[in-house]
Amino acid sequence: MRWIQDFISKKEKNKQKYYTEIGWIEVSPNAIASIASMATIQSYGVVGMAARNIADGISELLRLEEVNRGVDVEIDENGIKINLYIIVAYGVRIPEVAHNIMERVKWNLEKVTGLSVKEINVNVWGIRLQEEKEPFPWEEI
Amino acid sequence: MMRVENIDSDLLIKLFEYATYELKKHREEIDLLNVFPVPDGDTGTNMLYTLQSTLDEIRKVKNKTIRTIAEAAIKGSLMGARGNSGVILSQIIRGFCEVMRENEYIDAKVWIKSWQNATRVAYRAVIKPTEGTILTVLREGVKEGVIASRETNDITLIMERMLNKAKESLANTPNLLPILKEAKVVDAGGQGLVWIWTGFYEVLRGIEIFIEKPMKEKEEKIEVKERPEKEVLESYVITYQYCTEFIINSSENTDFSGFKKWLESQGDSIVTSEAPGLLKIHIHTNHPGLVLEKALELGSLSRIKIDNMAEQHEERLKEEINRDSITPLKEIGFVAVSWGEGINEIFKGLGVDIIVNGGQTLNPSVEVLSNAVEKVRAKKVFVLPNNKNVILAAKQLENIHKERVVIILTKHVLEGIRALYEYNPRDTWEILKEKMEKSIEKIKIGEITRAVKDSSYNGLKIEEGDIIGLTNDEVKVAGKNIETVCLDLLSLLVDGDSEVISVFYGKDVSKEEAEKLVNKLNNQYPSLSIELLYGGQPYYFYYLGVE
Repeated sequence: MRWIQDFISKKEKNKQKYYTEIGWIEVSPNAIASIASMATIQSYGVVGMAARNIADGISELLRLEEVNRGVDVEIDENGIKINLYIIVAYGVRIPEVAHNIMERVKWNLEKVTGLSVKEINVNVWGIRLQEEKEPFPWEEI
Repeated sequence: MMRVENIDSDLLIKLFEYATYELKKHREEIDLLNVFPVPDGDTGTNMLYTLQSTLDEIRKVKNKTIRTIAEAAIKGSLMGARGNSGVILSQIIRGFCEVMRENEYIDAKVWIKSWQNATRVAYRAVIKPTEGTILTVLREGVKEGVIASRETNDITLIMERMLNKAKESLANTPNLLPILKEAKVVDAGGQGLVWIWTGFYEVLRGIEIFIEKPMKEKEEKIEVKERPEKEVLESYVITYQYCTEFIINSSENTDFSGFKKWLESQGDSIVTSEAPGLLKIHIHTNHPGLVLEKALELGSLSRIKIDNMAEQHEERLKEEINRDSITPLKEIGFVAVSWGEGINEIFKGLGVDIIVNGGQTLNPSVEVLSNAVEKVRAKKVFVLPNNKNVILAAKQLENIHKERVVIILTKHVLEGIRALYEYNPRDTWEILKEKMEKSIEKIKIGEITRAVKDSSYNGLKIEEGDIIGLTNDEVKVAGKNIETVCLDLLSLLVDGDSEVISVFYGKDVSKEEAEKLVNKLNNQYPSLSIELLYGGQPYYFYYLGVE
């Protein structure tokens, strides 16, 4: 489990604090990862996110509640750097989908946190033909 | 209203043509609605671009059947998909065409099945569909179509009900998506779909007679030029020589069916569309006179147009041959992405063969770049993306054109211009590539523009409308005066090794102002040489290159 510790300590180091007259505001990398992952999975063409498992290098498809594990956040004095690990739908134009994600994540993060986003990297870790969850009610004709 | 129970390949093409035409008419209006997911005002442009690319691919099809058209549409929409709404539209088109291509003709049943599949495919590519968007408008419109299809097999009527429902659904989008309500707009993508369907509906009910042929107008910047392939031209055999088009104006209740039947014996490629008292005819025939005589029995004729297709065909063939034989194959050619008339001129002067328009907000697609590379008559084609957003698309060219292309990763037009200074026709391409790549590192680039919103950056407090100086996409200096900001930014860029400062002034700066700045620079940096060039770039007052 060493990688988990590494992971945690790395995230601890990268806190982002604002100081105001009455105290500080801190946006943790975890919060940033949540915002970024929400923006990502709502993007068109994305059907899932993958965890970057450092231990064995195998990616796993994440459940909706844990998608923020599919985001790496690095913060330094210049701004935020983000790595996203995504699964896209079969048959979409991947460069375009990736580009849309970058724009959407950047815009959402900057709007919500006021921090500047320096870099967003989109890693496409898989392609899936998504099953339909429920048939459309007007299916039969 | 025309009753349509069957859509053949000609009508199908027309549907796409008029949908594109409608979208083109309303592009700006759609752009203005765009507040979600990112308010960057490009939804209309992106949708139009995607649909135009679809249409271009359809027009390239040699043997036009429902199947080949559907397949071309799938390919074209995928290749040309741009922006979020463009990607969604490409999925809709894919779903729509997947069903159609399995059928020889399209009746009401196939029509509605195609739309059902379009909805399914469009929804499949997203985990959490946001309601109050194009997806909602599509789903509700199609649902209405399903209900209508139980009552009638007239596609026009079904389309009418789909369209009306879609309009209703569009008006409701602000209630589903709060951000739309805040901005007091309806969803931009949904509006785009409504215009596309409007185009479909207008064709089906036969309204096209009353508007000028839309696709002939000169395309603006979105054009992807159609170039028929050579084999097609050479192997093309003409059975019927004259392309004949005209409109018969008759009395309200004339029955044209007998005449239409007779037409079939006179030629091929027959397309007719009808409205009360009007019949528009397009036919390829060897006896245009006979056709016109016969038509005169029904009423007066207007908009008569007769072309000799053999002539057109020969001219095109000649043109093709001329172009290929006059220009010999060069060793190295260049394609550059550029923005601003002055900068375009500079690129041309430096020997760039083809300039692709694009920049900060309009990124050219892989297809446009690929076509440009194809047109350059050279053994190796160097591509200069000149913008970091274009690099991704440019890299894809290596997959398409393999060894024929060399991509130089220029992130700015100034880097592109700098790289081209290295060109010496005697160098091999390997040496040129190395020289160009090295040269990019030597130049430092500054940009002067106006801040579009209040913000604070690196401890600088910036108000909307302030002048800001950037380098490497980072704001370094800010102020109220353009000259002061230029001087401040340059003091950061110039160091002991600097020799030259190049100033490219944009289209919002007059030549006098630019010369004034250069005078000041001459005083400040007497040991450097300062050059002033007209860039004509929008948004940016100056581009500054220091080397």
